[in-house]
Amino acid sequence: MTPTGAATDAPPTSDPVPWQRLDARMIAVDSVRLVGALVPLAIAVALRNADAVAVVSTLRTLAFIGAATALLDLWRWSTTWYRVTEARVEVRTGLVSRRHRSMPRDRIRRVDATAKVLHRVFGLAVVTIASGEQSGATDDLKLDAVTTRRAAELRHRLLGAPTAAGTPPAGAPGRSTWVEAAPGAAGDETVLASLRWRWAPYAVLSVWTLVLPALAVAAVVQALSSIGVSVEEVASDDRIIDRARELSPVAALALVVATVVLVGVAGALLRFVETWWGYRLVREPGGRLRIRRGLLTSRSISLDESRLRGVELAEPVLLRAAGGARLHAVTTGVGEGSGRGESAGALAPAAPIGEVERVAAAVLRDQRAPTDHADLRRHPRAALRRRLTRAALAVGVVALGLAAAEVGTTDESVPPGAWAAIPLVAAGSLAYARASYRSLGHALEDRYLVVRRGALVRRTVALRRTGIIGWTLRSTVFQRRLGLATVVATTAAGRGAYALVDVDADQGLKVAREAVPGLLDPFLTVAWPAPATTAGPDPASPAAHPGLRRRR
Amino acid sequence: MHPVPHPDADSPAVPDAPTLQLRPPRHQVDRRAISLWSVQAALAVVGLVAVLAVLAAAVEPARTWLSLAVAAAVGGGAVYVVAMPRIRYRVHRWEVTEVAVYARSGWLTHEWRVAPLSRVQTVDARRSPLDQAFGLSSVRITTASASGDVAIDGLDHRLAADLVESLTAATQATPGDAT
Repeated sequence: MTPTGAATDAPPTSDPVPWQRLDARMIAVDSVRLVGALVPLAIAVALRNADAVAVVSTLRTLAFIGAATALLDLWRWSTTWYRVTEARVEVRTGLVSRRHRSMPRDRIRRVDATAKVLHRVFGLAVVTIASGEQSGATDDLKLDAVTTRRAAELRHRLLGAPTAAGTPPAGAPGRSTWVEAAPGAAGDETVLASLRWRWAPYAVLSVWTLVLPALAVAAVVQALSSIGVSVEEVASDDRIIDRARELSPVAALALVVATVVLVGVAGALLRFVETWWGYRLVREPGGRLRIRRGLLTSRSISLDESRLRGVELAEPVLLRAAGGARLHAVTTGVGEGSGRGESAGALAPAAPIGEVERVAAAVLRDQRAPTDHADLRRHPRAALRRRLTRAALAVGVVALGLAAAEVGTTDESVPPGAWAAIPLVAAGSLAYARASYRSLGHALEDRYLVVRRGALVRRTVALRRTGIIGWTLRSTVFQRRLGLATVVATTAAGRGAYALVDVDADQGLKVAREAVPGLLDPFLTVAWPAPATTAGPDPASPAAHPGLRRRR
Repeated sequence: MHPVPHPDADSPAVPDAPTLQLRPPRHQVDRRAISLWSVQAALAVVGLVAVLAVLAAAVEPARTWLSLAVAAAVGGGAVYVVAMPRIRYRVHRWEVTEVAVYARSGWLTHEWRVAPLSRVQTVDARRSPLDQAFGLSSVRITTASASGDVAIDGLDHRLAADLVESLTAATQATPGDAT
């Protein structure tokens, strides 16, 4: 893309771009962090055997570990070099076992800057540079760490460069990469969305709200027992026993549930504040989308807008019941591999669906979000039948397992109540089958293919038709008998493939053919069903593109 | 522009209306692929039976059940070794046009894949030791999508080499990074 091939081919010596080092303050950050992480352990040791010798030796170990980390980091700092040439970003590490990694600049899709508390104290940030390659997050270039100023500079230089943006300026491409605002893009950044505190309750509507407190309790119990405090001992303390006796079982249960819920809700709200504090989604001049958020750990995620291929609206059951949704970008550089937690590719926190779709429309530069106005077409009833069959099979397997356990064991190892679980399993799998069927749907819009699926998390994806780079049609024996197929649009962005699951085969092919004009036509035939029997594969029928416009 | 009329999802397909179908790709794979797949299947079945048999010999209390499992594996395996390669041979087909690669694979589950040449990133031929024994090769065509690869197994190795060469030439003619 860049006019000079010098940077790619010439040996480093002849290249004028100097190599740069990371910021030396990262040594301090790492040492302090590691020692800090070990302090609780030291305290635990000190508490357990309150003995001066042990405490001193622990402190000595801590100091030693701190010094060792510092040395290792000094080594890493002195052997790590990076530079940004006109064509690529290069990182060189190691002295004994050398590693030289380089990424073509026109492959860069995302630049993140993350600063945890300690980094922020020292004015540093970890910069991650991700390419569109799908081979995994290990291919990301990571600069740990540079100054926040340098991070901003890198972000501006590496993303939304003239080569990628819509209007490449004539001449001087090397210089213009330094220019902040691309020509033609008037003014400053546009704010597409910012934090609303009334979104906070939606953050609570997640299974993690209850799972995390349970995990936390388990972790605390584990930690206490590891330093010699037995939970049974504490619980059998007379005062606690007496208190518990005063309560009725119902009240005790209510108390426990209320505590868990309260802790969970408080935790979810705290996490919301930590993750989304100061959230702003902006469009910067030069074709970058940028998300800034985080209270203690501050994050900045910059995406190349020209690589955006659509959006995904995720509605987990709980959230959906409250009319909320989450919004993710479908873009190269943010695939499944780069997902660290549910908010990794998130464009916005969980919020009311109307506002989420407003953000989606703004991101896609549309009046309305395609997921909003798309008139989703349902999939055939046969898809429901498949799901009901699977539900019945699941129940059958559970029943068989119970029966086998009943027959195979002579003693009373199968609890008598086990059979009561069968109706529960049946009801659950029936509901799942129905929900799974009801969420199936697709639509073809002017610019987007919209697909929807998922029972527990209903995902609606609007994929730009121009972003579709291939089609796959899959049909199992059972699908073929029902005239169904799973038609998959493959793309470089997001999950890499978005499927119309259990769609009518004919309809699926129609959608695929229209979504990407010309691609599928040479491979299609029109099958005229024989008068009596249903249509089978008919290779003899003419390859008919001209007469193939519409069904009716 | 609305793509298609919206009949109620529940209504059955109009009986006398023509339906769209994917036609089979033009070329069949090499006949030797049947032998290759048979050997592969036989190896897998023999391995499974051997493991089960050893377990049956070693684990005293579960001998009855494991013997039954061995019998089932032998029976099912025989059917698999005989039937799978032949069905697979009839399903596996491929074709390369001016603009796209088109391939069908599978035996119980059929899979049609279409990738435009303009989106192809790499083309390579792979030969496992078994492939080499039969003079075969499989061609793998990757696109920028994590799940958009097209694989054509069981090609004559010279044909595969030619195919790789012509596909590489065709894809290099297209500018851009194929995303």
